[in-house]
Amino acid sequence: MADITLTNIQIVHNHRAILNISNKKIQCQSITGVIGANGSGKSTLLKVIAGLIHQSNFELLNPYKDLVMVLHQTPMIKMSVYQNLRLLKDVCPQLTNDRIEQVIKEFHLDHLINQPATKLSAGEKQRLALARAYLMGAKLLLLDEPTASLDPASTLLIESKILELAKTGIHFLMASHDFAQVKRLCHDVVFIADGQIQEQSSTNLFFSSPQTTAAKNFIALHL
Amino acid sequence: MWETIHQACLAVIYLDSDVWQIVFTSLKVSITALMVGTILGLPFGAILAIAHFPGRDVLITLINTLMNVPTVIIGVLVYLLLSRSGPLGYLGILFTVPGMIIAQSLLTTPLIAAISRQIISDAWQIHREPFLSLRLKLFQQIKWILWDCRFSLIIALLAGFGRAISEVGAVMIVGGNIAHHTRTMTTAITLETNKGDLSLALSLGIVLILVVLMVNLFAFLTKKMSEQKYG
Repeated sequence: MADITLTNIQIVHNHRAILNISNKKIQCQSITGVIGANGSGKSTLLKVIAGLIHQSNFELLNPYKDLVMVLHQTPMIKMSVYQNLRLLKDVCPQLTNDRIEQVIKEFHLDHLINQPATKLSAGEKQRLALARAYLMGAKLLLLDEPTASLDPASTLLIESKILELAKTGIHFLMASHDFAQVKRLCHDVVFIADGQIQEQSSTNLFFSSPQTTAAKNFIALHL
Repeated sequence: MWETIHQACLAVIYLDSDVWQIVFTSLKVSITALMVGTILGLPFGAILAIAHFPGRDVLITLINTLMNVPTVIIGVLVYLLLSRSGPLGYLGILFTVPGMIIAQSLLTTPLIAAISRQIISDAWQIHREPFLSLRLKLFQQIKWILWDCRFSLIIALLAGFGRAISEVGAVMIVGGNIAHHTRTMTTAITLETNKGDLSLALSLGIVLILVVLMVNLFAFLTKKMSEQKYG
């Protein structure tokens, strides 16, 4: 378990504060859910942690040097599933073809190995994106709505893979607005509203006795 | 007029060696200029699309302007550079095929760079975050974004080839339209029209159109088949 410290994170777009964090620590448990309403700043928070959004005044203390973000819908390059994974050799030269083929099997993509990645279903694409992040040897995976718009079978496959990877010691920070999923997967929850981290607690505690009024209202609205 | 067209069609069917040489010179100059434009223009367009650096907007405006500069202006500038008193006069390539290739490369490179920049900018909106998340370095980002856009970029190459093969002003000035040496289809058409040999000018025009048609057909089929495969 390690803490990510966020200081002086202010992102304003069109005179609207998307994220406003003066000083907060996020404790990364095995699987930590980031929940909040649409537009609350969940995805932006993950992007800041991943370094995809950066401003000179941001102070980010992140003990996870090897982290990868899996976007809500990761676009793939117009080439085969295998080639989309093989491109990682550019950033991980030690990666072998055998290892790539092994991960393809682990993520149940072996029957699609030569298929164009852009023509995969949403669930298959998400598995491929997860496989790519896993292949990079990330210790922290940031998942932005990993199962949004997926059917129950695909959701189940992704969730079981996340749980399986979590057992190997990989930590997850997962944005979601699916309460049932958060309860199924996450050990603790970061609640964000109006661009601010309102509270962080264990999943059970958060849903049974939320600390802030914003969290109480949010849960009441969604239950 | 019908007699001229009839003679032109016959001339196309029975092309003599002189005409073949003109066609060959045209293709040699245009294809080489296209290759130079591709090698320089595509990465340059990609850098302008994805990298942010001081002066980027100025460069974008510059290549957009160069894309529209009249070919005779490029011809005059290259002529000045390559003439005996010019800074590159020692190369001795004025009125030669390499000189013409330089002139046409100056036409194809900004055109390919400008069109590819626009195509890649659109694709970059989609791929920026995944590429950054994968920690790809700038060179790697350029490599993969070019690869992802390869089917769309065919249009940039076609535009570059079209600009080169149909161009007359720059090759006329820099090449000098020397028979059996620097005469291209477009300069020959201009010359034969001025001489009043309209049937030969028209037959060269028909060959030019057929060449462009074949290149476009090949590009279209390649793009269509590849897109069907990879989306």
